[in-house]
Amino acid sequence: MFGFGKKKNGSVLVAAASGTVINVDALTDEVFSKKILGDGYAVKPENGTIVSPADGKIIDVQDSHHAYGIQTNDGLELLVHIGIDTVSLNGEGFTPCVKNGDKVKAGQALCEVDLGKIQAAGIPPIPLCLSQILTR
Amino acid sequence: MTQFSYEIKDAAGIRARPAGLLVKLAGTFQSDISIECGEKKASAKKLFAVMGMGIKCGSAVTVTAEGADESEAAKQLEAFFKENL
Repeated sequence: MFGFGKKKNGSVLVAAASGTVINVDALTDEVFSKKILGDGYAVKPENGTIVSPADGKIIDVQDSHHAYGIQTNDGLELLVHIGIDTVSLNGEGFTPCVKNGDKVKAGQALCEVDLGKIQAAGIPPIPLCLSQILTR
Repeated sequence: MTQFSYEIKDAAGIRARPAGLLVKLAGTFQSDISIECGEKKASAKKLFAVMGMGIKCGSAVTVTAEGADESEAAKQLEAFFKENL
């Protein structure tokens, strides 16, 4: 299991999932590969535990539990988006561990994902977790 | 002030991908741009504000642009909605 820290604008972020990092440029979805939502990285996860990259507060949880917005204590807005087009699963395979307004610590679980279910639904397993810094 | 209304046709509603593109487009205009759905209203320039509204298929939204380039903003945003949502 590999976790690592990345520095962005002076803040330290932990990886949102343990696994292999993939550069967003390699993703087929342009919204992510062209960094329309900001810069970030994708992780091919080894396990289904997706964690918060930083200390902060949950500012958004999508109904289908596949995307979480976090405002860090440093004022950055992060989007942890699990999978691409996973909204179509309507929450199936996602067990949220937090709700809107919760305070979180770096490394704290946001969601448990049933990787088997996601893959069985035909969602490409590769970018199963994206952490985007939203440019203000 | 320039406004238009639109009914969301996309089955998945306003999720991360179109929300991101919408916020990016809204951000290119000087005008203040807001999106309203039922009782909720938010700035169309802030991703989580838009995503937090949880706008679903069949919802009616009203987009308001107010500022120097409001006509152009409304025109481009309406085209965006028609094409993506």
